[in-house]
Amino acid sequence: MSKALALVARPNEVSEAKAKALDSKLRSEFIYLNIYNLGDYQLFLESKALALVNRPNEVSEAKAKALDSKLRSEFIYLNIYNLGDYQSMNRFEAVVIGSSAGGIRALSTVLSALPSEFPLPIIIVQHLHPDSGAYLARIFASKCSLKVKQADEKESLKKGVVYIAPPNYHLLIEDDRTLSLSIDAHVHYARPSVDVLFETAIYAYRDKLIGIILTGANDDGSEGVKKIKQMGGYVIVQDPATAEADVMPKAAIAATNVDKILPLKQIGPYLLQLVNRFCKNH
Amino acid sequence: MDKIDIQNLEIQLLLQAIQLRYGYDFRNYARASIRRRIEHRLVRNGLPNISAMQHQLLYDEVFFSQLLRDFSINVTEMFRDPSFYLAIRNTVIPELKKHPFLKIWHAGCSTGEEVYSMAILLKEEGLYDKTQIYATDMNEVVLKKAKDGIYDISRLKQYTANYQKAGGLESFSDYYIAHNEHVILDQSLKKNILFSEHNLATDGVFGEMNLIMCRNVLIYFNRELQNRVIQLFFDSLAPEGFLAIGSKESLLFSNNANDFKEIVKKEKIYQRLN
Repeated sequence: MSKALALVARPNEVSEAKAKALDSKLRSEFIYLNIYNLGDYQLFLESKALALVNRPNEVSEAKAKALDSKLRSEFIYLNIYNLGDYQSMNRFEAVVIGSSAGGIRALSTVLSALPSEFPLPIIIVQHLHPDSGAYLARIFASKCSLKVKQADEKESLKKGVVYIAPPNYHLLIEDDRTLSLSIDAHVHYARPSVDVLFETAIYAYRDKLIGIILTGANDDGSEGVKKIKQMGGYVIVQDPATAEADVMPKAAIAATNVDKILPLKQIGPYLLQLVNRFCKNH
Repeated sequence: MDKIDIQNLEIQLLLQAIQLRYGYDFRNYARASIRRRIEHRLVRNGLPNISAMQHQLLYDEVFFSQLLRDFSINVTEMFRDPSFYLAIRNTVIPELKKHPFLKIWHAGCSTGEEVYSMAILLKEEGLYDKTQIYATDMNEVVLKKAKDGIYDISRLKQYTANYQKAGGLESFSDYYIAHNEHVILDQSLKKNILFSEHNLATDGVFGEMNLIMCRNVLIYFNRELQNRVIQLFFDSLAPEGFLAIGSKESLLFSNNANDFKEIVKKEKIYQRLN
């Protein structure tokens, strides 16, 4: 599923020539689907693509072989004959965000764009002075409609809740999707560290993770986004030109091929759009 | 089974191998932290995978003691969270003064900074001479460091600030001698401290304590092991004895939640009910 979605999310990679080379039946499907029109790919996903993969008999091996080789290998990779892989429709199951200098304002902007019924948990590491207490959660709670709280150890992650790492603790996600804390050594001079959160989130959520890097003056988080991409997750980075401190977003962009670089104001709306398209079982 | 599943299996086998070979049981430690520490060691030693690490630790005791150090919680400081020590001074000390003789247990004392912090506090409150402090850790290497009471001078500024914020009555410099790169703590602070090995995951009850300190250790355990340890603390406390845990730890979800009363909520200081 992830590959097919990646494909339709990158329409430039499906050239018209490629489409013409497709088996005519499939081509007409694609034309019908208007995959050149980004706005319509939601339709593609929700109706045709799902119908297609839910009725594997209709995609014969011969048909698959007639496909353009790139597309064919994508399809084979996707195991479209294996119905079991398509039972789970939620492309994403959690959002992790990392920020540092300038992050409080940036996070307020992103979070205030999201509705209280946001379908995923959001887990945040913002670098803070070790003595800063729980005020961050209170600031965000007053500015957005989501429920915001300081993360407690062993608590289970719930959709529509924002969890903030407590100052002076690393925040980790366990494989059973509960939170844990540690006072292990600082990573990139930081505790909590963005990399620690992201790297543990990858084990818990694998390719179903969205990672976001906002403003910051050090390179914490760049290892994390690299690993999110290696695992097949999705990475959004704040456009360094719109960041109060550009080191953190620049380091993330340099570390891997990120999916989206967006001005601060567009990150919240884009995240919402992305999640609404790809997460239906909520 | 994908790569991560196989790696999880390797970690499970590694922890079992450690338990069978050396008796240390990390199987109920919070897994995300353990995994990070294993990965860290893997990279540093250039090992190809966790199975190779398992092979090495089975045959190489020196390597295992290295890994044991990796697994230990060895981040601490003197008067860590000064407001906590202030709360102990204001709330718990007056109660402890009522007893003719005191026993205090620092469980998971690591390199000892917090043990000496307590010793200083007791001294200033006139309780030190009637107190026996038990300082335990599972790791003999950090215990040795705790026994020495010699710390890096680079932390001194912070320790001094912490001491003052914690309500210190004297000058912090009364309690150490600076020597080259080191701070050597006043040797008389050790007089009533007994350092010994004790493993919370496997060892038993530790006497009738008036105060047990175990801060930022429980966060490394899973629910099952947390429960075991809190039961162990309950059993080790004298009636109306105090238990202090880390500021982000809680007894709320333990089986013994109703056996304790919260004394200072923010600082996670509890008292055993009868």
